Amino acid sequence: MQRLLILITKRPYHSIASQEGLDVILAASVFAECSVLFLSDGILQLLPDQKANDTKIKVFTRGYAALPDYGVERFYCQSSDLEKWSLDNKMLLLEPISLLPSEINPLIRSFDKVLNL
Amino acid sequence: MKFMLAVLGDPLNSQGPITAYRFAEAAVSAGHTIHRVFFYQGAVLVANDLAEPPQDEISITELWQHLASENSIELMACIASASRRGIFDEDGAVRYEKPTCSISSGFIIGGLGQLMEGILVADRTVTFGS
Repeated sequence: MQRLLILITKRPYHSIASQEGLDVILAASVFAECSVLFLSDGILQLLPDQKANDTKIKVFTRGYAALPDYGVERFYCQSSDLEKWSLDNKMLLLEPISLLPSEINPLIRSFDKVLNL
Repeated sequence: MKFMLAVLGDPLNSQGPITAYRFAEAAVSAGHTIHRVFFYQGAVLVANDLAEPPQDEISITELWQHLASENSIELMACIASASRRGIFDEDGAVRYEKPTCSISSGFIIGGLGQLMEGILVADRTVTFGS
């Protein structure tokens, strides 16, 4: 089975792109061994207890918690993005592995295919 | 080389579809093949048959139609993204009780499984974002 890395780079309610990105991860999990890298504002997807319902928007980010059930078990983020938002990876959904910026490129290169959403 | 193109950007709010078109045109003229062009997210609006650009503007839909028919390239719009944005083929229009089919000729409706199949089969996947 090929190894696929999916990059999530947008914040959750920026547009419907994030919601449709999660759909791609779910579909991809059937076909490939998937890992997900949350970069830049994408890290905000993993904030727990989001209350977007108050703004009449569906809280789709809960769907991330189901990814391990689909066999998607490796999640990564960048330490500098955590620092920017004063976040700790242990407080986020899925507890992504925090990588140094210098480790991102080798990670991406280690996969067969990369999809940037 | 066999390319898979994933086009995400809305044709009216991004450069994605036109950049993807220029890439595809260059790839084909250099002897490469395009396995499939998958229109996802806002890019499905490229397949909107009900849009009518002013006569002195280039129709990105027509550009894709010509390139695809001349080079046997499959143009596929994601069913979930398309339904959200009012793009239906004959079956979809009946299923959702819409007054008309709204997908341009030369485009077909498909699912994310076909995006993945293309990514896994192609030598390279190139994404054209928003």
